[in-house]
Amino acid sequence: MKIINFTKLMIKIITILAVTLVFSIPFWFIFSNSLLEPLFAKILQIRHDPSMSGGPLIASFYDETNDDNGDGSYEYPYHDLFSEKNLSDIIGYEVYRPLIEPPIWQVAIILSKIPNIYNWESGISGIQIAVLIDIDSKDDIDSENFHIQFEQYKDLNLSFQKSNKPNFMILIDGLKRDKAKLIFNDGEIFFIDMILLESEKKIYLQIPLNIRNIQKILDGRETYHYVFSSIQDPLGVNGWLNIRDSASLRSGGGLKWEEGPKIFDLLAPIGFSQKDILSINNTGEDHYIILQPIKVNGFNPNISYLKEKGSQKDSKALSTIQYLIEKVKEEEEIEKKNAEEEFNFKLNSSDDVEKLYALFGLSRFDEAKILVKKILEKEEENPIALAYYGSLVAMEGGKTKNPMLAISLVQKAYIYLDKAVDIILKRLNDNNDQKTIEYAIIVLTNRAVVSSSVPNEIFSKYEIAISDLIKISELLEKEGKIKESANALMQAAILYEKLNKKSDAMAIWLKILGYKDKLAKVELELVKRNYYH
Amino acid sequence: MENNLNNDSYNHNKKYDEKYLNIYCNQSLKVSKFTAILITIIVFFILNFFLLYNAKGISKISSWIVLFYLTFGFYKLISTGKISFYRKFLFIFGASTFFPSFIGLLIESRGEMALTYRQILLNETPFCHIVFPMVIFPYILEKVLIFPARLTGHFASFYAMLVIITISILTVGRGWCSWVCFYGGWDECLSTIPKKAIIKIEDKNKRLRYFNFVMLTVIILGSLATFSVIFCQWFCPWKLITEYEKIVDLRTFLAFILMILLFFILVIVFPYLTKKRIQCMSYCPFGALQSLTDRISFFRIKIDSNLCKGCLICAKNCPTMSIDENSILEKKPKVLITCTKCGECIQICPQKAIRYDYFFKPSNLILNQVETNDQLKNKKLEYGRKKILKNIFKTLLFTLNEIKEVKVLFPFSGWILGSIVMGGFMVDTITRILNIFINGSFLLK
Repeated sequence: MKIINFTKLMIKIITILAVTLVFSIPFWFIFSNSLLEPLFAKILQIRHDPSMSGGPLIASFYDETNDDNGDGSYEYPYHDLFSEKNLSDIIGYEVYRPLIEPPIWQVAIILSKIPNIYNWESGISGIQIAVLIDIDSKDDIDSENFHIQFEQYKDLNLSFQKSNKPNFMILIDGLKRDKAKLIFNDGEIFFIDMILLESEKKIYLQIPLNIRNIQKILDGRETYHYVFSSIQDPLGVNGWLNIRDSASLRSGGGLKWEEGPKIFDLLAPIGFSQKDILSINNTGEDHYIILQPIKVNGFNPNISYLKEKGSQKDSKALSTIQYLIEKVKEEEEIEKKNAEEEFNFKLNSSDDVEKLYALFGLSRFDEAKILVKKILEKEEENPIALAYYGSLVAMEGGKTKNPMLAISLVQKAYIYLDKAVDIILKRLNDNNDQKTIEYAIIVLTNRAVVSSSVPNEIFSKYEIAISDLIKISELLEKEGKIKESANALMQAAILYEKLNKKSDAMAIWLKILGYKDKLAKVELELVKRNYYH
Repeated sequence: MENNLNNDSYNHNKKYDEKYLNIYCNQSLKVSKFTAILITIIVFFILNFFLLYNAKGISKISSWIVLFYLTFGFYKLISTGKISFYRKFLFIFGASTFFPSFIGLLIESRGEMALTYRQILLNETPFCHIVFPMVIFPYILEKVLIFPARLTGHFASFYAMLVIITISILTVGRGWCSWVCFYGGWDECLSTIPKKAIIKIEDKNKRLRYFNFVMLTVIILGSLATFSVIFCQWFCPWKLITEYEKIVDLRTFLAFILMILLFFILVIVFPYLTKKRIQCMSYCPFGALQSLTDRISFFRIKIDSNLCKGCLICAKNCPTMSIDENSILEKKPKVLITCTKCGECIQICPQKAIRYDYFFKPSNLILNQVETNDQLKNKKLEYGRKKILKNIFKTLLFTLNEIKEVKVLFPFSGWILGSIVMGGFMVDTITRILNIFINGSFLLK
């Protein structure tokens, strides 16, 4: 009897489960992006097989943005083709672990802008990038220099240390679609695969490992790389554009001495600056500058590439992370205390807008809602009140369990937020005083916070959040709040990463690197992303 | 003593099952009008949310067209009980709108249909459910995904597809192959066109039915050995209407030839000649995987041995040959794990001996509920003002009882899943067609 009852109960439970499951199908889809996919991701911890994208990354190097001016004095030719600046600005270089299957060794160059390297209509195709690699050198530095190995860069006025003599050069000259040249010291030329990723602003180069001379790198040895860019001119010697003391239509300018290097941008190794390397005029027999290579550490060939989970952080970086985490906590406590003091002070203000700001900051949203309505009754087009009202409506949307209602509330919120931004930006154009800037920051922050909080898959608002954050950063910089400006940029970079726009994110990270004063949380994010050196 | 007890229990269960089955199966597949309208309204609102939340401009018009098409289709399905007939409206339309939409999206995003190294580098290849069996073991061994799909944040990302596959395993099970799969509509369509099979293959049913398990084993072992998705590289018949590897060497050239042959033979010629869904039944490894996991799902197709007269119409008409003829002749009718729950047998059975059911045994509770519904159905509604509330209550009770029945739940889950997965493609294709007339271009960007 008991068994029958138990069976009945079980059947009842399973029936209810089945009915619930069937009617919850739409919710599975609705919460797929925000809940289920992250949950699966956390549980499964899956990553792509690195061989599909050219092997695991073993080294990455970064270079300053906007430094495509040689030793600081170089200018592009006057030709229209170069009216858009920073055409040969290298901002990063990546080296991947060589693979046996497929047999390739991949390197990638990241540029701040992808030029049209196949543009031959004007006779000048644009940039020319060279990667010279030494695969059999010793680590010891030899003072003896070399000048010529390859015919192709004879005219570039360069010399190398004997210990780091390049074995071959990869030349991106745009002569053959999707191909780059691999040139050996003896003049033998191969065409290798080149993949231009415009969205990533990256150029991938795949060195085939069926070329016997290069196969030795499969033993995991260290290699030395020289990466630089200049301008391509088919009429120039070996295809390199000439640089003179002053720029003309078809030649660059700013060359300080006759045998100066014809390099617009160079990836300088850690401890060296591009300016120093390119401006040392040797007074000895060899007048050419001596290039310094970047060192790429080897790998353990006995460990499968599948076991390597990308480049590991060294102990120094880990200790820096620990230190920064502590510092972030301290900073947050101070920030919280200061904010509370400010809000409490402004709460007593006679100005309703100031009071609203304080109420919002203290999370007293019910009172804020009453006040916001009061302000809007008096002044329909008050941008601060409109922005806060928009945020309150969006918050309501976030709280509701009815997805249809949530969507309509968020859409309604944007009517107020967009209106507030339009009004404040118009005012900012007319009047650039401190108060207007402060108000603009508040309004833009409201929209940026809402835009980065609502699911992008449904509302597609991340781009708006990014542009608002960049604008906020500019305004904060104007106000002299450098740390806060870097913080706003950091939020924008993180959103770019969420959108999978890695190179845009990288450009912002590199810009943040240039800020002298940064909050600990900004530094922490930089360290986490290996920008610490 | 114990034996007697067991026998008693057995007899009781048998009697009880028979009673249940008789009552249940004799019921019409149709549902009451009120229930049909109520459940259709729910479908309308759900689909309205999924199809219209982001629709703008021309796509708003096409979203409304698709919304009405799908809502009306569902109403007809549920109210007429012709499940398999109206299911095809969803399934075939979904599959035929999938490829123009998908090809359009590919051309807009990368300029060509061919898969280039760029997409592989960026891990931006759309994840296809057929790949799923191949990625399981490499993941278990090395925690890597051997397919260059985006992991999250995309309609065809790996995790998005995983969510869809999980829901489908729990609800429709192998019903995926007849309700949700955006490829299956092709061979369903081709196998529906001829009135009679030109080639009869029923006598080879066993070998053909289980060939996709062989395929599944081969591709799992192959992907494990090579750590690559060998089905996609060599054996996928859908490349011609989706994306294919660019021809750069002899291997890619041979793979291209093979994929054309596979498409024409498995998807067009064989289904037309045999009136069977050859690709889904005998070739698709994902279908085989769904068969293996089908026992987890809540719903099955069951045959009542008492009602079944052994006419074999169901077995002959089953598009995947999933009804074991011998078992019917032996009076122990069995639906095999390869069944795609299309409902063709339910619709065609002259004895009404086949039905959708829960996987667990029928209970007194369900029995009572069915009886209650029958009683409610037979009782005429009482007239008079005072009786209005009573009548409303009665109708609601009846509807609630009816909604719990699998004849409502299963088509509902299949239709909703299929519409959500394929609805976007339907909208996109109609938008493209409208765009041809309005702006003169198939491409939207």
